[in-house]
Amino acid sequence: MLSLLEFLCVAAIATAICANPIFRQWFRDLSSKSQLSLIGLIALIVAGHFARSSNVTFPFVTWDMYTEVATPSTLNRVELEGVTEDGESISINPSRLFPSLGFGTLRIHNLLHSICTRAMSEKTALSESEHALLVAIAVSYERQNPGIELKSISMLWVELPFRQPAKEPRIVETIML
Amino acid sequence: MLHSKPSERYANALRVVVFSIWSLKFLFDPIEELATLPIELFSPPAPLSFLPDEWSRLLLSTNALLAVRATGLCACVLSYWRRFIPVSGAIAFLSILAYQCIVRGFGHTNHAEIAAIFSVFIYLLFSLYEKKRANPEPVVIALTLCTTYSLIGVHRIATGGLEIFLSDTIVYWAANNSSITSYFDFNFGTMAAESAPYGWALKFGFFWVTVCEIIAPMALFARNVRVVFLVSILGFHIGTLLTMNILFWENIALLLALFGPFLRNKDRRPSR
Repeated sequence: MLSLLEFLCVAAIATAICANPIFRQWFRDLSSKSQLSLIGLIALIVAGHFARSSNVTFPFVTWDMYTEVATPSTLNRVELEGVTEDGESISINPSRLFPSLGFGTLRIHNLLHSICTRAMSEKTALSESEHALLVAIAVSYERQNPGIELKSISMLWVELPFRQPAKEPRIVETIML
Repeated sequence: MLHSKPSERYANALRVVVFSIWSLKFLFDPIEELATLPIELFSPPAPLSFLPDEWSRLLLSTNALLAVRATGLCACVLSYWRRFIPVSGAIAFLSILAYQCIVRGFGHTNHAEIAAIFSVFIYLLFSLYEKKRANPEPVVIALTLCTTYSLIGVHRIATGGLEIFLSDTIVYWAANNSSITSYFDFNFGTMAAESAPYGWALKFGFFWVTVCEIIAPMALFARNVRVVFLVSILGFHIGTLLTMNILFWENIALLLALFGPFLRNKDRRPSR
């Protein structure tokens, strides 16, 4: 029902655009193949949005940013902490180590977040590949910070009550290197 | 209507902006470092997911990722010249698609990059069919970009209703994302959770931006809407950086290139 309502709204906007005489004139001036291309492209964008399966229709994705109502009681995040051979604790920022997954986006944080929530909900240790991810992050940190050798890397789950004082972080997994 | 008869100079400049977005990404994004990540965590979207697993393994090697970068960069730079686009644009588009599937394979869809992908596709598509001096691409890119904003706005209202604006949803997202260890580490979002007036300002801004998103296509036709739309959406993108550490620089570049030069001029510009 909501999707139908949403579709009707989108159709109304499309009708308003198509009703504009200058737009119609511009459209008529295009070659017939270009007209078809434009209609096809917009149709694919809209169809991809309503298919609600971005993984299958990529790059014609669902446009669903900040559309779900959140009723939060806690803020939560994942942190990575390394311990050097000297016993010093270091905060590791994976977004800076892998800018492809972190510059302007939260891709690597969200990947770690999903790993962490899975491990906590299933009450299991990290899988081999998840373990390998943390090791890869530690190796990347050492490569980008010559002279620092990490002894271990820990994945911390941090919960902060929303609009209240902070709690102590919980350690989900510590990996010895 | 904006860009209905763009000058040759403007059409050329916009093409350089679009391909420069991707040239810069290929130039500065060290995707070859992804080769060190475990392939078991790689879950690419279509069309890469249709390829056999062995191909994915091959693609995720350092050399292949460097090859994607180099090919994409060369193809994007060549696409600054319109006459090369039927070939270089096709190579650029395939490189961009591979690049985006790779980074998406280790994470979620980054909507900031999608309109920029469409823009390259539009140049490729229309270079095949359209007469050389017609330059329909600026309108099509602007229409596509505005359509994506409209889809977001309408979807937000349809899914979240008024509650999404009246509840603490946006304050929560801002506070939560501000607390995350991210590339930029701005934490203005935490202020929203601590200060009621700032929280209400954020909620009103969220509602206002949603309205602007819905009416985005009207920015093509009405100058007054265009000014309001551009200022609001640019403010929103800067706001998401400062409060959520999410940067839509690709969209900012497209918005400035498409709407920025035309805020004071008349809509109809003669061809040169």
